[in-house]
Amino acid sequence: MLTYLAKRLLQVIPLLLIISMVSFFIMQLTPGDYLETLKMNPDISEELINDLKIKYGLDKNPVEQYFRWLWRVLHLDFGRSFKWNAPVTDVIGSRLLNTLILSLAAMIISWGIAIPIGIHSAVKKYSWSDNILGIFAFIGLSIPNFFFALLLLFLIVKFNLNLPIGGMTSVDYEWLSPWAKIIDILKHLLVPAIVLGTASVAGLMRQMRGQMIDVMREDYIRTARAKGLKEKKVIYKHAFRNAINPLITIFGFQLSGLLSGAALTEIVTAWPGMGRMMLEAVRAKDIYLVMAGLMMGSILLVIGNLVADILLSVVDPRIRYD
Amino acid sequence: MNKMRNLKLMVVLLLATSLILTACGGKESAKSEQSSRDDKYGGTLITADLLSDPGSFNPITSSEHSEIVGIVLESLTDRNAETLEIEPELAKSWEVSEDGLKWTFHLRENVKWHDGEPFSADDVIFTYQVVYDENIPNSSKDGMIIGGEKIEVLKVDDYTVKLILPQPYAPLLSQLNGFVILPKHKLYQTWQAGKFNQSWGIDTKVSEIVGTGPYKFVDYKTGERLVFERNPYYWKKDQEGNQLPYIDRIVRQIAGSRETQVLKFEKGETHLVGIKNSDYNRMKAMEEQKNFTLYDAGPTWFKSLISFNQNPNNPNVKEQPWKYEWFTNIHFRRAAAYAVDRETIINQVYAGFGQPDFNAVSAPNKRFLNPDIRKYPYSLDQARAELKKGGFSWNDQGQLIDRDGRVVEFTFVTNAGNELSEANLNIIANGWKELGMVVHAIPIDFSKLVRQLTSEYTWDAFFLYLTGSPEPNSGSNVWKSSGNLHMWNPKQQEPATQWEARIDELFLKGATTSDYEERKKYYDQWQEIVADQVPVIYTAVADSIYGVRNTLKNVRPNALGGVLWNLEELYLEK
Repeated sequence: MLTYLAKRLLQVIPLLLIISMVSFFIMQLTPGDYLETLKMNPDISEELINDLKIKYGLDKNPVEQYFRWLWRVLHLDFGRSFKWNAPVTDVIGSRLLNTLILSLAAMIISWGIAIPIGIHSAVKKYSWSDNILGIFAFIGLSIPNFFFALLLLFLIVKFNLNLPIGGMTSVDYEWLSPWAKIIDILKHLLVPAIVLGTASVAGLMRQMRGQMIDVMREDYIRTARAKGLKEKKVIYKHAFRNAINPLITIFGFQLSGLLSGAALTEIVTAWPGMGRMMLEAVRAKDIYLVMAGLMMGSILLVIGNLVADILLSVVDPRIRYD
Repeated sequence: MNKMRNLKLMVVLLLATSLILTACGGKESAKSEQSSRDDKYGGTLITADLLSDPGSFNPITSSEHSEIVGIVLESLTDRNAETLEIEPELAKSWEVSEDGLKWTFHLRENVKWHDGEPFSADDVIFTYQVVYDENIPNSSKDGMIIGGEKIEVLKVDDYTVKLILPQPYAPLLSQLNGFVILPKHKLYQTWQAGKFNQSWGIDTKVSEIVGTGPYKFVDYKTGERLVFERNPYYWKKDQEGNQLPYIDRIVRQIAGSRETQVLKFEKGETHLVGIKNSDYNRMKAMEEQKNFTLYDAGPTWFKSLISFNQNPNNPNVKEQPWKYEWFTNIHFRRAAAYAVDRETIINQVYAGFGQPDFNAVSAPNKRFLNPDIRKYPYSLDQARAELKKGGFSWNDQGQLIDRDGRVVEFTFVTNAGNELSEANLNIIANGWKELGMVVHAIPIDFSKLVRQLTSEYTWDAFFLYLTGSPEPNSGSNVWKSSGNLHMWNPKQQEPATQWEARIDELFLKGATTSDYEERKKYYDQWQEIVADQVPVIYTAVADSIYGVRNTLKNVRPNALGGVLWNLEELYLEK
């Protein structure tokens, strides 16, 4: 197991290098750089643009820029954001936690809903409840996130519910007691977490349902039933554990999405997360910030896959990595 | 905190009643005045006016507008957003020598930075040193370099500063309005250590960011809000001599999107909001129920403009010299101007709230706007007449052709993603199609557009929004023939046409004459030339509309400063 882990981790290094190279040069291929937007401002002179070009190192050719960036990253200096005139790590810093909170909440919601209704639909397949749940799951899948978020906010205003419109904390947050602080954040979290959570319910639920239906046809399920086991035990102990394998792989993939956030939902609900920041950074061609964000996403993808593989071997003793 | 406030109020009331008792009545008015004065103080003003995080808090190095200028930081002079006149701010008065070269500024005494340090002439000198530093790229410098030379800045005493200009420079006072004064005691060491470029970023502790303004900067929560607290030692007093500002705290939230801003306002979370013109009727219907008022603050300062490429250095000119011929043909440009259906733009894009625009100066700029210029109201007949004059005719299919029988066909671009720009583009292109032109109207990526305009020069025609300014000279980058934003033919060595040479001359005179009446004459003439030669076609300007909750008082919104331009005079009704 340990040698396997070491091997997997070593593979990560060339992978990240290639990812960084591809993303860096794709950013360079898009027309213009960070200073392009400043050029249309009548108050900004050409001399200033040229000075800034030198200051940001944008006058060098892309290959040289890349290697300079790589050299600094190897020394753990991720560069400065142009747009926010601060170290990239500071810009990402606080947003990282916020995005993590939102993604975890969304994940809990989507898995918490999808797994039980997936099992229910499989056990009671083609029943009216299976059909209705299926319809709801697909509505969740097909409504665009930003629209769903706006709709929820609109309903809050319409019915004057005691919920905040957007943001993560209230204006008087600093003066609240610790418990009130948590409740305050949960209140703000509700809309974006529901929006993001329900979006992935349909996919997960269909996976779960399909797997369960397959497994329920297996001989060992019939055997278990024939032994006279309770239906509950048959489903949760025998069928479920065998059906969950592919979902664990999906779980690994979802881990990588934890930090990339969901730009549109974050913008509409004013959630101060990474997605919103990344979108602004890409638009402004704030290259070092974009690179840092992308690299973090890539690392998480690799780690997520690794975690999924390890989890698989825990759930399914047949899988061994030696 | 609330309790304290109530207690104070009770003490005041008790005092007032005892006064009345001793005076045996008759002082009723004194009592109500006293309490009405106290009523003005306190409260928290909440807005969600920011769409994204500020880039930096450093007003010098930041290339975008710094969100704390005017609230936390101040300049020597201030432009009154209502009258557009320059008023004293940190300088209480100034005088200028006969030749217009020596300016003496008398600074306000007893002004303190938010951390208690006194403000003095040293801060002004320091700010100039920083701005003129070769190693600090900044846009404040551009306004303070006159004819290629720096201003000499001398300290006369602690509260007097002398500026010696290389040549007379009329926009000086207006430039000083954007020239934010920095605290020397906070930034001198940073500057000496060569770290000024990194100072006052979003990673700086907000207590380090001190100014002299009406509010102290007390909190910044990334992606969420900026919080300001009342500066009790602010230098400004109201007409009755009461200390300004009235409101205790200002919270500016970062809303992310226009939709969220409006929903927050509807829910009652915020005190004010900028409203899309198309939302006006929906919002108007709930005015009373939700206790707010909509204000139409008149036309915005934005210019929406069309231009045709008249640049002989356009690489396409070699292959397609005829396009250059058309675009430099004045009758073609006039015809294009007549064919812009401004009424449709106003009705469809601005929901009826706007006005047609023909002028190089922003519509609300009453100090410099010249109303007596050539105008191009929508008329396809007049457009056709102009085209005939210009040597154009029509073929059997009704297409417009030039003298050599070539169909007039060109691309017309704007920045993709801006729904207003895209809507304008289509309406304008339709007008031109009516004239028989073949117009390819395409929204393109903004940076691609900028590249075409500023370095590749391969465009045919564009539609864009540009910002306008109360000071005409700040458009010199656009209007001087040598300017890099002189978009139709930028960076000319020698003026290509006589009228461009004349505009160069007018801008030079306008910048070096200090008498307002005389300046206005020069800029009037410039507007006449532009309207006559139409290097740029103006379309229409939208009104800016604000929703303000009725509890916020003393509100006088205008297009230049929005609702918060007189922030220190606003108060909240309890």
